[in-house]
Amino acid sequence: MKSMSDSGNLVLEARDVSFRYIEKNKKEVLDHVSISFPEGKISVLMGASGCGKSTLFALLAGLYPENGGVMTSGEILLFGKPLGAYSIPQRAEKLSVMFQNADLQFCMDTLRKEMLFCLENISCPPEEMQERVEKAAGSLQMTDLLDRPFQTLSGGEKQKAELACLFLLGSKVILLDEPFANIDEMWAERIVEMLVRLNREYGTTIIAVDHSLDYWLKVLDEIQVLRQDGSVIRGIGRENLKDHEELFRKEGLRWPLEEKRHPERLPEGKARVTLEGAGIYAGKKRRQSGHPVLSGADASFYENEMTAVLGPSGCGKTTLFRTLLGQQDYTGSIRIDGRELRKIPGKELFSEVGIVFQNPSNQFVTQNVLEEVESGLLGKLARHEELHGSATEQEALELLQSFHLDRFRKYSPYMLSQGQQRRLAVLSILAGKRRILLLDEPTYGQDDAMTREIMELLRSRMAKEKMTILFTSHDRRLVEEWADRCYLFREGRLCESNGAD
Amino acid sequence: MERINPLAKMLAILIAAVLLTFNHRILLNFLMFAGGMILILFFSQAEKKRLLKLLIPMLIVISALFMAGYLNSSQTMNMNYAIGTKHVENVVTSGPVYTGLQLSSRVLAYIGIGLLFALTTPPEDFIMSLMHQAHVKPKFSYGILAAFHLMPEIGEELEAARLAYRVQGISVGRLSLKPVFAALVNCIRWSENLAMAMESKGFDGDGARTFAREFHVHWYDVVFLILLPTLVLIGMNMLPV
Repeated sequence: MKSMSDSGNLVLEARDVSFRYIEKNKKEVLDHVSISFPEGKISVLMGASGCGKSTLFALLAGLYPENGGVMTSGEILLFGKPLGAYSIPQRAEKLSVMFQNADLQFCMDTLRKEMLFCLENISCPPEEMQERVEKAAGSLQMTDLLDRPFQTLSGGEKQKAELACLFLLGSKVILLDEPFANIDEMWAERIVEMLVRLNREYGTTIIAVDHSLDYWLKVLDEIQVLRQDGSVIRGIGRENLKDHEELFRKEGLRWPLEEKRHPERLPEGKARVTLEGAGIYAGKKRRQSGHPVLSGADASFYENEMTAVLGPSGCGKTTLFRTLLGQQDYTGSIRIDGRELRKIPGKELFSEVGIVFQNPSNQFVTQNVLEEVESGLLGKLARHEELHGSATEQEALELLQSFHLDRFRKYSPYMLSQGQQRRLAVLSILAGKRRILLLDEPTYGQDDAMTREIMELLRSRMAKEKMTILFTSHDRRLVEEWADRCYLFREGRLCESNGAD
Repeated sequence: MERINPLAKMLAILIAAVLLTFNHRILLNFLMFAGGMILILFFSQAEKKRLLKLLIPMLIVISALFMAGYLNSSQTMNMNYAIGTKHVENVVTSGPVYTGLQLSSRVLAYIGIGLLFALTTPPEDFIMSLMHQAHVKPKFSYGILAAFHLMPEIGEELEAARLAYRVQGISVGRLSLKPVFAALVNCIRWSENLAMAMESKGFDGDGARTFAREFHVHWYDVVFLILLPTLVLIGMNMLPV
């Protein structure tokens, strides 16, 4: 198992690292973990949700313990020197990070300014700056992006812009944290292409944390799996991947070579939501932006079916959901159970249609996990006396148990991890007994096992209560495996597709 | 106007504004406003449309202010003024019209010079100039810039949080603080995220760095800085009304 890892120099190494977020906590998030990455390779680090891989990632990147937490043992070595021995600009020239959320990486408003900012950071002489920016942008074919405001770029373009900044800094090691989580397939493939180019032409070491191997499988050199007990399994390559199926299953990781399974179809129901020649505009007021998200779109969403709504980021999926909640103007006709949407009063609509937002921390209405679910059960924020009514509490607890959240019942929802927050958000919407659910990226940030649980619970609920579920996702596999029907945003229309293309 | 150093511009305008608070001459107030408008219209690249959009509501407020002064002025005062010297001045310098103009023209003057600054200074330039001339630390300046660029997203988050409450059947008014809480929690998380991203690109809040664009103080900045307050001072002492 150790064949591959011994070749070449190590660029980044964690030795016997233990880490906890709060000094007083008894339990370590990472308990004596050691891991290392060889130079000039593309490595992917995998692990179940909550195994500490994000923490390990932040430590390797030097973000922790500087920005929080305590490292109780061990050290991190970058090119053989402790991370702390580098100044921040020196470190950036060796190692830089690309994060999940493309929106939160820039402090300037255009790529050119951001690139200049990067060069300023590493004290590049001002005379050379413009030239270096032009050269870097030119060699990545991104010159046309340079002066466009970030606000007008898609998620994929932003991630590419970020990568251009890292390239400009000349980092020898690039760490990526689920870089494709928010972008669509076409862009993900382009970014992988770009990473491979950096790797082959400039010898850049690529280290990615990802829950899925979909985009990496063709290009990676090594997979490392961080197990729940803190040990690291190394030396999994493309050739011997087949021998590790058991490990993947045991750790709840998505097995990349799996045969596709298809959803079990439920008896056909009636169409509950229908769009006929519907036009939706971006921005709050109709025609404000001039540019319609949808124009003349036809679609039907059926009872007993999960429908996936797909399209590149920024194409208007979220706007469609907002419209179905009565928050946007539309032209043409949108009907729910035959009634025109704009004529249904808000209260009635909200008791029938529920939503899980892309950012779940937006939607918590209480300060406590258990109450969050209870408030969903009661359909309204209950008064305190009612809250401890044992019937709802019992039911809420059972729901929490089904998603492994019961031990957090006294926590504030904001203290949960991203993945846990999303589960909680799905739960509290399910608890509301609404029969049309809109889910924006419901399984984002979950490992494979958890994804299955969420989708299975949704499907079983759907069968029991004849629900209509719409969801968006960037995860092709998820859509193939779980959606009964697919709609694609294309040139202002919704095209039905069978999910294959 | 855009070429004038932002910090020098701000200082000049601040001093002028302080001086104006001691000014009672209506004509000077009007001249300040007119001067500001002329500089914006003919000596800058400011968008005329934006100027108009800002000006219209302000003018409405000012006319309201004028009416307030006009209707509430005390009559006895006016009698004394009415025995004034010149007949032409009498109309303006006496009576309710005078009080109204006093009140409203001053605000007009502030608007004139305030817009002059706001419309001809990109926020980014101002912050850069603060860093170069006033030696504000890069940590603060770039932090402010980053926050500034995040503003639109914060608005969207707040909107989403409001919707979440309404969907759960909880009514929230425009001023309700509950959704603000959720949005705030997000903002804190964002700021951490952003800080880490900046750091990973080599940003060191206090360390040495070079600058792609340096802001310098030129001779014309100094001239502007001295000229504007001087003109106001002269106006305060020499103008007739």
